[in-house]
Parts: sequence; structure tokens; C-alpha cells
Amino acid sequence: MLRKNNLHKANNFKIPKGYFDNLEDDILDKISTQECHIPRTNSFKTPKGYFNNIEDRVETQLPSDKSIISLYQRNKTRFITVASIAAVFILVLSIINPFAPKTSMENIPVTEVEEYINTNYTSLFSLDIEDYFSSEEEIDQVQILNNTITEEELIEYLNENIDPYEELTITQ
Amino acid sequence: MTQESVFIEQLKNKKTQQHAFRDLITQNKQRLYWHIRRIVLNHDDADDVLQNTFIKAYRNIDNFKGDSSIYTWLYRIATNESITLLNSKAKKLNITNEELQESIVNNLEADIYFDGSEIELKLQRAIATLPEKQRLVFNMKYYDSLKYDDISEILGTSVGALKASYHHAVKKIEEFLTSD
Repeated sequence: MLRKNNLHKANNFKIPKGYFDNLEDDILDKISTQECHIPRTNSFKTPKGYFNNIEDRVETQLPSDKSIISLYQRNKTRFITVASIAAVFILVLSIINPFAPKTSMENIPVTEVEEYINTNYTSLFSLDIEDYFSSEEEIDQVQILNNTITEEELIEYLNENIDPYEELTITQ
Repeated sequence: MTQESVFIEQLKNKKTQQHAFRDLITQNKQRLYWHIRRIVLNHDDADDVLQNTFIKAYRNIDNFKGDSSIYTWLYRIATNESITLLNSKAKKLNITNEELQESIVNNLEADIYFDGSEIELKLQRAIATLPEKQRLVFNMKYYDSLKYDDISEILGTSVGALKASYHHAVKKIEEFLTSD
């Protein structure tokens, strides 16, 4: 309990969390903003009413999970049977396909391969990697695969595959 | 449970997902759009990236662990998607990213959704000359008024490095604007 004499010392005022942590930055930014002469106006425009229907336009592109699940659950047995037959059929056809054109990488010009890579492959971001490896377990499996070479195996490989005299170059 | 964690649960729950996701778009569409627009500059590209950002968020919401706030997570997706689009455009046109920036700014003069004055056009040219990271930091700090802690989470860069990037960017832009 507070004594009567110390009552004036009690602080009933509150501040936002982390207020003092960012105070220096906030003040320095305000100073530099006031001192610099970079215009802050927004000259970019959008079509009229653009923001009004974004929700609808995004929703039409979302996968409708519910319909897929209910269709699957309703016809589970039939679905599995048809899928199995189709899988066997595709497998057989891929092994003995009389209609398959004779294509090989050798027939494709290098420029076309480069063009394909440039068009279809963009740099990976962490989110794309997260998409691919949806659980930590899968990432662990990849790490295990990468760590299967022991030091002894590595030394043995180097001994067998590297010519000890290769590094020796005699110059006059 | 905080208000945000309740909202995240609603986003993950199939029964409440659709309604919550609509709210997520409504709450974030404007600030994300302007963030994206300042990176890609063109409205059509900004629209594509904005929609892709929300679609990607929807598909990945189950993987969102709540380590950061949902809006910094969305900013991260939007930034990555914007840069991916620019890189992909540069590759298709077989030009460098710097050349692409120059070309996009040159197109602003004829863009019906840009009505900036000569000085504002010059500002866009100045921003386009900055290295990618400085350009992102400058836009996020100067126009979006984001805190360094949030930018650090979005870009995965330390606060110290961000402060240095921002001050370099401001200095370069001022020099560009005051030069003839």
C-alpha cells in the first residue's frame, strides 16, 4: 500500500510497448525527413473503383477445397478404382508407346533450351522452398541425404580419383 | 489469446476461412498495393502481384507459424512476388535489372495512371538508380513509414544494415535531384 507522502510518486500513466526503444530512430527520421527535399506526394493513380472488388477477383482464383473433398469422399471407392486403372494404362503406354515421337535433347537447339530455362525458371525465394517442403520432416530427410558421405568414403574417393602428379607443374 | 492469434486461427479453420480471408484482403489491400506499385511502378503489374500475393498467402496459411505478425508476412510475400516479376521480365527481355528499371521509368511519361510533375518523374528516375535493397528500404521507410524492426523481418536484414541503406538512399536521391 502506498503511503500518503509517496502518493505523488506513483506513475499511473502508461506508454505503448517498446516506445523508448524506437524513440531515437523516430526523432532522427523526422529530422532527416524535414531537412531533405524529396517530394512525398503520390503521383501514381489507379483505375476508378479499383479497390472496391479486389476481394471478389481474388476469391474467384482460389482453389475450392470443399467441392474437391466432398466429391472424393462421396465416390471414394469408385475414384480409387478408376485412378488405379488409369495409372496402369498410362504406365503401360509410357513403356510401349508406338505413337511416341523420337525426341532427344540432342535434337533441341541450345538456344531453345536457354530460352526455356530463362522463361520458366525464376530465382527461388524462401517461401517457394517452404511451399515445396511443407514439413520439417521432409527437410530433415534432405539433410540426411546430404550427410550420407562419411569422411573415410570421401578420402577413399579422392585417393582413387585424383592423380597425385596432376598438381605438379614444372616451369622453367 | 491475442486478437491476431484468434484471427490466424480463423484463417486456418476451414469453416471460418473464407470470411476471415476476405477480411484479410480488405484490411491489407491498399497498403500492400501501394508497396507493390512503388516496386513495379505499373498498375497492371501491381494488380497481378497483389492478387498473387493473396493467393499465395491463402495457400500457405497453414504453414504460417505466427513468428512474425501477419502483415509483415504479407509484405514479405508481396516483396518477393514483386522482385520475381521484375527478374522474370528482365530475363524475358534479355536485359539487366538496371536496364529494366530505366525502361519502366521511361514508360511512366506515357502512363495514364501516372500524372507526376517533372520533379516527381525525376524522383522516380533517382529511385530507379538505387541498388535493389536500398530501393526497397527507401520505399518502405519513406512512403510506407514502416519501422526498422518490421522492415528487418520482411527483408531478413539487420536493423543496423537497414539504417545504413536508408541513409545512403536518401543521400543519393538528394544528390540526384539537386544535380542538373
